[in-house]
Amino acid sequence: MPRRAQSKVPLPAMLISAGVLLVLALGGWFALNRGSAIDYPALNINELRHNSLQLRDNRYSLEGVVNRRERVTNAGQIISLNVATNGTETPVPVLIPAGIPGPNIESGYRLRLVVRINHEGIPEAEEVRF
Amino acid sequence: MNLTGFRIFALATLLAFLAPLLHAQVLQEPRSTPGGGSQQGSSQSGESRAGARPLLGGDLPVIDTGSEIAVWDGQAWNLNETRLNAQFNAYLASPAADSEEDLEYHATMRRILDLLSPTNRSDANYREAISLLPMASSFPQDGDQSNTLLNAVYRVFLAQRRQGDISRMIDDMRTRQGELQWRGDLRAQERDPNARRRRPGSGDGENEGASDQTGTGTRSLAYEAITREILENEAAIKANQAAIQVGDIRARTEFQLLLAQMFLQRRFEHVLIGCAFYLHLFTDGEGTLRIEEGSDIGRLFSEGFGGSPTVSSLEAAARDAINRADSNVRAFTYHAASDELWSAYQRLQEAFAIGEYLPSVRTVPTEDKRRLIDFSRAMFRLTNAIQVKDYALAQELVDQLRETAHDFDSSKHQQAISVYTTTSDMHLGRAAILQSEGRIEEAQDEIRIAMEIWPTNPAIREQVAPSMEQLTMKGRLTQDFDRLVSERNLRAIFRDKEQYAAALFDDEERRDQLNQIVGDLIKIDTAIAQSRELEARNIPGAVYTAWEEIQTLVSEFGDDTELRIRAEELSTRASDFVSALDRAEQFQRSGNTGSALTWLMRAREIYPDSKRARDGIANALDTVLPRDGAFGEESTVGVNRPGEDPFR
Repeated sequence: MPRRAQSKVPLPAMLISAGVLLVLALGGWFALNRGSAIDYPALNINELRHNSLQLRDNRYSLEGVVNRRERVTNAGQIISLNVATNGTETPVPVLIPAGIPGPNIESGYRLRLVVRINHEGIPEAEEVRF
Repeated sequence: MNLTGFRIFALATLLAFLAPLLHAQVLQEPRSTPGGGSQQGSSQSGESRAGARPLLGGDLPVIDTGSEIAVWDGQAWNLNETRLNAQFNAYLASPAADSEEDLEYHATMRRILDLLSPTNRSDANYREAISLLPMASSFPQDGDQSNTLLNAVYRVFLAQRRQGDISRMIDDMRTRQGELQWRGDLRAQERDPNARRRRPGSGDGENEGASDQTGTGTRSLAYEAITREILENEAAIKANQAAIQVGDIRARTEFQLLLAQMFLQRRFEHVLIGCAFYLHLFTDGEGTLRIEEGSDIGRLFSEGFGGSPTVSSLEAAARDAINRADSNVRAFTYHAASDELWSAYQRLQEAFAIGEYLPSVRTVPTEDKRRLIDFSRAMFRLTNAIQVKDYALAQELVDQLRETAHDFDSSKHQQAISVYTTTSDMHLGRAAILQSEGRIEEAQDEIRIAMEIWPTNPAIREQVAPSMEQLTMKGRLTQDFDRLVSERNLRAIFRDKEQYAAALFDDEERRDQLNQIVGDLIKIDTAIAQSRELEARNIPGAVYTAWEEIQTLVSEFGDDTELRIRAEELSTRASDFVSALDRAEQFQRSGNTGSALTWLMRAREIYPDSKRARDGIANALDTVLPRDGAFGEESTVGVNRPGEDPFR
């Protein structure tokens, strides 16, 4: 009976490959989280509900689950995003202009966004991520 | 009643009318001339002819025997009405003249008439009759007529005595006349003592022996004085003879006029007494009444008696009147005993009209007259009831009269009552039909005609009163309707919508207004009822659905109290939803679309089927992100296609 050939990878090569993979993974992670949600404060939903115009031109981070796409036009779309606040979810309108790169937006998707409060007091997305 | 009888009755009836006038008449005394003579005192006097107004006016009465209506001096007199009727009713109301005094008076008059009857005429009886006249005149029933008659007789005595004096004076004057003639003859035969010496046998044989010289014979002053005195005496004799003649005529005329006056006054017993005295005083048989021909009273007598009236015919007429009055009273007694009051009334009325002062008329028993008074009053009321068109009362009186007066002829009255009542009822029936057809004005015309025919028709009240009430109610409801509309109190109108519908059925504008109000309130009430039903189902979100349904009406009918109350109730129940919508609306008005949209989405989260939230979101999105319509993919909620209402 033929003797099963033994393959034996040298230990240094294995260590080098693992190092390369680790570098690639870290690079990707950093590339994806490059200076956004982390850099802006979370949008105060209560403030938004009671006087959104006072938040105009400010940027905030926002995270929530897509409730529905309210209107979709060539200029963009408006979605309602259920945002968890004090244990309850509050629907928040978000304007996503056309041309904003990001994933598909469908109901039930959780999104993380950087938004700027526009002149109508509507959070307008500048960056959208899963 | 035959023609002659009726003529007597009509004449007597007319006299009854004239009696009060004649009481005021005064016989005109003939005017005396300055010479002591009379200037014709008879009716032939030209002065009296040209004098004042005729005694009884210018026209003769015309009596219609069929209708028993007398036309006189331009006025119509119903023999059954007016003054005669009033006098007759007064007579009926007076007690019977059967007192001791009445009986004594009647006995005195009877005694006088017996003394003056043709079989008992003598100077002694005449003197006794004259002596009884003052006694008869002392009774009030006589009316002093006997005294007047006595005075007339006395004046005739005086006139006749004066005529005797004048006759004796005439005889004296004739004796004196003879003496004067004798003296004149002597004077005429007186000769001139110088006549023979101057020319005897001068051939003047005819005047021979008579003086032809002035101062002697027929040419003497003494002869002329005698002649003149003879002529004067002759004239005086003629004048006195004329005075006797005139005095006789004057006495006759005065007496005749007194008799005529008493006849006209229906004092027939006095007429008989006066005629007897007349025949005794004026024995030459001349009895023609000296009444001016063509005068009213002359024509009255001549046409009444059918020829020239005389004292005898006057006496005969008086006796006939007495007999007829007595006959009517006997007939009255018979009818009254048989309960034939209508005939009894007529007979007694005729007797009264002929001779109300006669004993037979005056002594009718009071009880019998009382029955006639009741009958007369019922007749009077019946006449009045028909005149004023009170046919219900007229019918009642006719029934009463039929029962009390067996011979009462009610056919005319009954016919009038039946015709007018039936005609009035027919118009009312037609009015009812027209009213049921809604032809109110025509119905009112029919009712007005019915009222004109029979003003007291009880059916009018029954039919008109509801109509009047309806008209009053209609006016009041119309005013209420206008007031409630101005106050926007439509619920009050809705509660009594049936009444208002009935009142405004012919008012097109208000009727449409009422229909609109009723329709709106039915819509509100239906919505309220549905909201309660939804709430009762205990389905999640039902209270929000009910609130939204009610709110759609509040904007239109916000002044309805019940709707507002219901809206308040639901607002309390759906306070979180309502609060979200209110805040959204508040932010929307202030231009804060972001906050408004957040609250609208919150409201939709509470009640996902909310139309108001969906509409509000759509409107807000239109300001933030207008639709372009080119993009086919849209969300299932809140995305509208161009030109399409997303909520329908």
